[in-house]
Amino acid sequence: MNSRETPSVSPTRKDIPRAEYRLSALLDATPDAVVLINGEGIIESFNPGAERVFGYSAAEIIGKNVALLMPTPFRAGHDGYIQRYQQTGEARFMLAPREVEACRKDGTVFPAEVSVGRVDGERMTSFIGIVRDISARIEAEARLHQVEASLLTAQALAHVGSFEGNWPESSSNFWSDEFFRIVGLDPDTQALSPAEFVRRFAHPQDRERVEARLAEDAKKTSGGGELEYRIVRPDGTVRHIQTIYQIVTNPLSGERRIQGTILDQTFRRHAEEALRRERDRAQRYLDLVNVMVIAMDRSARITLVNRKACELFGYPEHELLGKDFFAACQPPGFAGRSRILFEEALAGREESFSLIEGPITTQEGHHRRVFWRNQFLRDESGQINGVLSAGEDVTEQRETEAQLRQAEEELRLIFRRAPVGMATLSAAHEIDGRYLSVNQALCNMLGYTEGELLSRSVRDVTPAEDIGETQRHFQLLLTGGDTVKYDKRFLHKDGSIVHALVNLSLISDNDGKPLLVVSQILDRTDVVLAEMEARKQRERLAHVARLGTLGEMAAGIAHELNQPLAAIANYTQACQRLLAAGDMEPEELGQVLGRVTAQARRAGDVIHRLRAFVRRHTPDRRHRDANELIQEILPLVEMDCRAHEVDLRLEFQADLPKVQVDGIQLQQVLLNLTRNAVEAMNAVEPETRRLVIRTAALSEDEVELAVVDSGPGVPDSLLEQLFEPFFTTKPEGMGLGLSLSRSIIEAHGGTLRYDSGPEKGSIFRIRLPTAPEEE
Amino acid sequence: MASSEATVFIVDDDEAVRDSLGLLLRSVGYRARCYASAKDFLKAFDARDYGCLVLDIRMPGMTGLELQKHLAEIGCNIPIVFITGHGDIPMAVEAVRQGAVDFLQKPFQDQELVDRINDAMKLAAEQREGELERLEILDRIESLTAREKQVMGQVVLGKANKVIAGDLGVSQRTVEIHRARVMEKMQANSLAHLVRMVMVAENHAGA
Repeated sequence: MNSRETPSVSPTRKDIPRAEYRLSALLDATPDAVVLINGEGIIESFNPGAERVFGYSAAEIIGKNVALLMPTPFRAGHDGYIQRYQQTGEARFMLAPREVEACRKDGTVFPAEVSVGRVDGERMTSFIGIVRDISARIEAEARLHQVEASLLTAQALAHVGSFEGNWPESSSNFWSDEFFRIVGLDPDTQALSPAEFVRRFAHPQDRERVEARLAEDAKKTSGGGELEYRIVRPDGTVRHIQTIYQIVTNPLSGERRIQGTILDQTFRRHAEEALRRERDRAQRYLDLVNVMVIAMDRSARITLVNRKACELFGYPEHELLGKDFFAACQPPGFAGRSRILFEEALAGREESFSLIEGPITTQEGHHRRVFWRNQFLRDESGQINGVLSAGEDVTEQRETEAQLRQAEEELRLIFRRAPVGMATLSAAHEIDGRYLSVNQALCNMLGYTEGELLSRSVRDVTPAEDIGETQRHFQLLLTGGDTVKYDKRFLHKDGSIVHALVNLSLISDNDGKPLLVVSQILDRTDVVLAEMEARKQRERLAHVARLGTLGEMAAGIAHELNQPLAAIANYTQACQRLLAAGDMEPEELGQVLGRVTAQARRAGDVIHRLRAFVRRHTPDRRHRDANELIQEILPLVEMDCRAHEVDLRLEFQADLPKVQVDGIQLQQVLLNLTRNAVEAMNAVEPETRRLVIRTAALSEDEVELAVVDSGPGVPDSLLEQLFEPFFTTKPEGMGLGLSLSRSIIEAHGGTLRYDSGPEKGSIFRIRLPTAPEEE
Repeated sequence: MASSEATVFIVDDDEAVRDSLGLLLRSVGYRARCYASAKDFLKAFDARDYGCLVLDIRMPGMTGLELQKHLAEIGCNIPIVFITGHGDIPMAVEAVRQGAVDFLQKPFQDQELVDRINDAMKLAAEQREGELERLEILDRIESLTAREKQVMGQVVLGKANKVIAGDLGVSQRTVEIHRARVMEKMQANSLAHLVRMVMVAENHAGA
């Protein structure tokens, strides 16, 4: 079609008078094509509109048959049509516009509206045709139809139904097919008014709410609304529907109508629900595992970043997108290396790219450690176009691991370098299993190299006589507690004895089955030898002290010996006289000699006890009954008491738990205490002199031996020095008794202390730990 | 139990010593009685018993020294031989100072003991003789009247009859009569004899 900027000029224009000129201007201006033909169908006039519509110029078409402007099927009939009209007056096109098809110069056919008028001229009758190109209108109409069709389809597909009716009266109601389908009714049944529909189909729980809205809207003359509720279909199923409606009032009639759609939301609701659940689950999972997701293109520009990653890096999403990942997110040193890996991997030269761990830098400048799982992204052709990385913040995990490694390393060092001997053994083989590990201190202690020791068992480094004891402690460990501590002797490679304190710990598996024995061995040889030396020293001192004690008791001892000796002398001298006088029968002599023998034995016993007491002896601890030990020295105590007119009383608790003591040493302490008591009581009248020796079990674990006198007691001013060496109130005393006594008792793990008596006098209390019975 | 026969009383808490001493003393012809404690001895002892005491110086309960002291207090002067153990020398010395015959340290030679016992017995015999005389004198004194005892008291002080009469407020004649009665009743040969008898009586009465 020609453009309006270049209108064609009709050749007839200048030749016609003014009225015609006006007509001509009108013809020029009208968008419609105006074509004048004569009775034979020859074109006589063709206006600019016609030029635009048909594509012919006036010059080339005038004089041609109008049939040219018609599509081929109609051309042939046109001449006949005009002739028939001229002969019969039968007109099909006259006056009333008709829709026909027209043909442009280029041959394209288009819809057109044609009005034809008859012009009765001087020579012959002409016809004027006005043709309007209605292709745009037709097209729009077609499109409208299509939209309407699409709407219907869309309604069906989207489960949208529509309804219409008078409002609020229930008449002339219309429901679309989809409406029926949504409601589950046959489309042939009668549509209902909104109120009736709600009454019959709304879900009981929603009905009240919807009816309230209907009542409210019943007063309205315009406006609309939106409502969601559930309906129960005749088959009992429940659907979620959404309705959008509009109330319109006709201004002329005042009649109100309602129009609206209903949408079945059921599937959408379900789908949304499922989608949300899925999304939540995925989100929760990602949150839980602390996974960051970052995608980047081949040039390492970030194309995707998830919330977790944003949080960790401390940037909002938009600040990260498009950034170079390595520059933005990694510390420079590491970024350089990982970029190389990335590029090598893109080039297919690096395979270890899928798992990478390294530091990142957060917005605040902190470093975190992230473990990345990388995956190439590929386009349809398989070309790598980026990398998807899932990163896990392992900072704390790595720190913990590092601490663990550190701790393990420290433990290993402690084990190797510990100044105490350490070893591990299999629990199963007890003392016959080879050492599983030994440390340097143990090697040094026993004189073996590590290799030598690892090929030996506990039995191999234990003196033969101690095997039973060692086995007993292993048994104790395996059946009893988690740890066992005992003094043990080891056999050094050179055959010497190593004294040690051993601490065995048992390590069991989760089921409580013993796995491993960890042994700590503290070399106590020096201590033990020093203790032995100290014990010897103490014994030497004790020996001297015992002699001293007996020296103090000389009077009593002499008396004790004199009695039997005097008796013996008397008997024998009497016998001599009687025999000399011939005044003694053999029978009587025998009797008397028997008495002599008894007295000789009596004297011998005294000597024996004294010798036993003052003998130098090797300290020897045994399980002893304290009552028995006191009984053994009782004669000595008694003679001392007799010599000093002291009343002696014994208050023994029967069945006293045994103590592990050196008998002589404990007796020495007791005798020292009784001696002191007897001595102290010289200061008071003989009638009031009373010495009590009392034994008692304080508990299962402790036994007390108390020596109580009725003497003047120890003045407060002397209490502090009481147990000090060389402190004495006796003119001839060495002042060793109490200090030695205390050191003896303490060497037995006990205590010796002084209490003043309830009224007067002194109480010395020896407390000793009890010792479990040996099997 | 009172006996006129000389007896050795043995007090010792040690049975063997006691028994052997008894045998030894019997072997030299003494009669011996044994007691385990001072208390037992005191229970059995009679003032008229005659003999000596062999006493262990150290005993539980009443000691030898205490018994010696007690006997002196009740006017019993039985001779005592102490036997002591080693170390009791200071006590033994004290015992002798208090009048013991002697002490023997255990163990001792039998002869030593026998000698001491003999000494003690001789003393006991003397004491017994003196005691008998004293009892006789005391009997005679008992037979005097109160006035006669008064006069005798003055006479033995060596006062003249005239002085005595003046002191008592009686006549000289009366004093002479009393004096003759005293001499007669007391069987005194002379004034000297009378004085000796009064001294014997007083000595022991005041001991």
